[in-house]
Amino acid sequence: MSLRAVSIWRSWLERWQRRRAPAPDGTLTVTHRTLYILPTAAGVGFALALAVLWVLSINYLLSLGHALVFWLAAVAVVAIPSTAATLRGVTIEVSEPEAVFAGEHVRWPVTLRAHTARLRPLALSAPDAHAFAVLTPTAGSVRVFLEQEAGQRGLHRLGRLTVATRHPFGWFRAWTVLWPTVTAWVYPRPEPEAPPWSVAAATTDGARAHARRLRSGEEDFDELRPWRMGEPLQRIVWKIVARGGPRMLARRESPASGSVLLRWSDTLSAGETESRLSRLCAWVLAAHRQGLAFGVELPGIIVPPNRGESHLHAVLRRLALFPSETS
Amino acid sequence: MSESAPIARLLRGLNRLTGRLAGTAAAPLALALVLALGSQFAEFPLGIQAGVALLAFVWFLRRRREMGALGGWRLWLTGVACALVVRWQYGYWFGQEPGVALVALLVWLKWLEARTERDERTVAVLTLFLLTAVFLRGQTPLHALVAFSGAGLVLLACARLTVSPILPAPLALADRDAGRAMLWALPLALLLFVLVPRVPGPLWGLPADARAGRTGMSETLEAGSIASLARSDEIAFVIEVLEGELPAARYWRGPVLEVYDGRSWKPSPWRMPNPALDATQRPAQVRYRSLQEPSDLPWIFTLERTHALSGAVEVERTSTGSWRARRPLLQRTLFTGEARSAEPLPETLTPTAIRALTFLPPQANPRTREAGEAIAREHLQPEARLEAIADFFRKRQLRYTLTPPPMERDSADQVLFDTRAGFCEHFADAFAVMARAAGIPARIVLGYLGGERNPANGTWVIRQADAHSWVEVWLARRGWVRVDPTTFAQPERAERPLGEVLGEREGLPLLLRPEWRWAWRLRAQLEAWEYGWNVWVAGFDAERQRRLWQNLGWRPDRALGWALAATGIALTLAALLAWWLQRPPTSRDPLERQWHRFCRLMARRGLARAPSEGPLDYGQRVMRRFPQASGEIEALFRPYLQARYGGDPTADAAAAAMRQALRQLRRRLRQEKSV
Repeated sequence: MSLRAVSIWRSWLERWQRRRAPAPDGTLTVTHRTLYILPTAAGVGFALALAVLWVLSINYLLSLGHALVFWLAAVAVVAIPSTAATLRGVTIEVSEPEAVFAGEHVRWPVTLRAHTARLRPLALSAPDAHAFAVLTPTAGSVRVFLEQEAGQRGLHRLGRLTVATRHPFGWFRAWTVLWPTVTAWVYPRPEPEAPPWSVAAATTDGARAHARRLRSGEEDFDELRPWRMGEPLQRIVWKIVARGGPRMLARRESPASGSVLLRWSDTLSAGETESRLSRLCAWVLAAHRQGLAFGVELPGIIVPPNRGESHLHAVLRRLALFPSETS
Repeated sequence: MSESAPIARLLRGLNRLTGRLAGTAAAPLALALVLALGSQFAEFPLGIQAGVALLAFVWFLRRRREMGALGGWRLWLTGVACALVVRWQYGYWFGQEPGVALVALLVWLKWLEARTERDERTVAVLTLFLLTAVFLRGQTPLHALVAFSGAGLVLLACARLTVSPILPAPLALADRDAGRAMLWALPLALLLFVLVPRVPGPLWGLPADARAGRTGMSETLEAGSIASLARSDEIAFVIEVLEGELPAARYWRGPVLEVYDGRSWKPSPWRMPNPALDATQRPAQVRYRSLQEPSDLPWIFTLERTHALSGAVEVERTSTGSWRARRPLLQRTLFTGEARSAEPLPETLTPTAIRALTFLPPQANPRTREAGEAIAREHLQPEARLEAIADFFRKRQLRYTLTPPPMERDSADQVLFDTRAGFCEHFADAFAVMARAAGIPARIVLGYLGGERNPANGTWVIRQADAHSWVEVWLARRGWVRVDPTTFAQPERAERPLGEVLGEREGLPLLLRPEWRWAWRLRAQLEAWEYGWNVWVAGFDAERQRRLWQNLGWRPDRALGWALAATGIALTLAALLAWWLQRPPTSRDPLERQWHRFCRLMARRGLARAPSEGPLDYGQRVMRRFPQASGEIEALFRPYLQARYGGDPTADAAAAAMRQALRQLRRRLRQEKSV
């Protein structure tokens, strides 16, 4: 019963806060309308301590004890706007993260900009996410990454983002909440050790020869080196990642000529929908890596073979948005 | 450079000593603890001192070597040991002194086991408790300095504890923000101090071990008990006259001694019905404020015929017309009294009371008794007998001295017939004995006589050296009448200070000697400040607060006062907060700030910047409007343009130049106005 009341209260509170925090593009400058502040446990403890000291001052007729308690209480009162000021005027901008594959972590880049010269201590939190890295492009701003596990393929949102501060004394916590509309693409998890696509998928001779070579188990890249941030995702050797290894980058052979049409119907051996999507994803990545023009044939949709980054992402998005079995 | 070398060396040494401790929250907290404990270290018993020093040392070593937190049975064992040491040193558990000592020990233990931020915050709160305890030792400006700077350090520690793991800020930023909050809090603290209604204490009563008083009057009179006080120039109490004027002979009454056992005088142990107060309800002649220094006794020294007295503690008027509190006045206490100068209505005595008040032990002072009885035989009327006794005293030609020859027994006899020299208590003793022998009810009053006017603030300072004793005799038609036998030996004493009437110099405090006037003046100034502090800061209690409110024209009854004050403070705070939150965020960019100051200044002169107007256009427009100040205006907006748009990296220098130019511009505009 009380649990139900709590959940009703929660949802009401969230609706109320959502109304107050319109952030259509993921950017919010904290104002008094979107700033909340409450005492922390430390603050309540401090208040209790002051009450005890006050009673002592009354009992022992300590006028200066009164003065001390009143001063400390006044500092606590000043701490309210002081804490609020730490957060007020701060601009929070959530940018679009790089696409990842299911099972990896989405890193949401959050830029915090102060209207003052210095950014004061802030804490960020979002559901199932932890902030992990700080880069400081300029003095008054900071970039924080929120790492969130990407469980399922599809289009993801960060959810409720809380930016909070307890500065300067820790007796009050000021925070703001926003629901960034920025989305992250989560592609299906590429199947590790995926079998090569059938020779029949290849629409050109070169591609057919290549498929044969793959099916016989030959690797088609000759050199590996660690992947660095900012480098194209699709050049990562996902086989290694799927085995739990680091992200490695393959130096490819010269692009093979030819094109393949990767078919949904060919993935029947993989099992249920998600596994079939995983296999298709692995194929797509392999084809792209090998420089083949590739297309996919999904139930009702055919993406004609093509090359290039944007084509790759377009195909992967198709796969990410493929209706799941339950829906 | 060479001068700063020792300082640099000192700092380096300090750094080596504290290691990495200096840059943590622990550093200000430790310093606060050193202040709190150091200022009362001497007051702890030896065992507590040793314990505190040991635990502090262990804590310091462990922190310096960055060893982890302690825990487990060893810590618990040490805690129990601490409690036992406290019990052993004080002999009891519950009380102010053992309480403070226990916290002084446990705070180190808590710190030794501190792991989390919360643990350290507990240490901070305990430190605040110890800092408040400093005021139990005294409430001088020095105590205030120690406690307030200590509390500031604790707040600094709180700020340094509040770090964010994601976005760590440099400690200097935490220090600065905390310091600013502390400064901003000062006016609000003053408001709270004056306005928050004081609860009249104590709530559960001062424990028996609350700070004991010092030297002062005792409750019994024996030969030499007052002469020893005459050598002390400690203040007994300070009188500030609020209305009317003090009489020339200023007798401050304390305990009244009615029981005589042949050696000493004591107050009557019986509580007699309180005589009716003056029924005529004549208006008060003098209204005064009295600040009594702490003492071991509950007696309040009041001007004769004080009929009303109020203060922070409960007081009652005894049957002898003295005022006493329920408990010894262990704290400095402020009273307000009213006295009449007219004679009170004659008080009647029962035959039993007359017998008790004329009682003399049969063996003591045979010669004085004989003389008294002779006078009684000679004169019938009590007034005539009294006059005869006074004559007897005058004819004896007694010598007034601080150092009378020692007297063992029958002191009245010795003073009157053998040594013929004494101090006030000897004369009072002899006179009372003789009056009783003559059948007149007599009692001795202990108190102070005179006091010195402090020219610095107009208060009257009464010192222990002004201690005095005199006699009150009962006459059927006039009631109790004061007789000061000292005046028979030294007629001037009643209206002049001791230092002037006493011929001899030995044994007198230096400052009571007339040739030390300059030092006396200096002291008077210091004591005037001390009085102001004691009344307005250290002695600001419920009573004082009520009077302040009344002086401001506000006379609330208690409940209403509470409600009003609380509402007023809450509303003020809410309004301030609301104002603050609605305010647009101000830029902290120094350049921007100066530019806005300039824009505001011009806007006040009807030359507001249009939103679309750039700095150059605006600056030129202002220059056209104030051609005579064009140099200053140009010096103002050129650096701004240069720094903002010219890519000049030295923005701070530009801001400084702008500030300078703004100052000159203001001056120029002001000159213009006055011309």
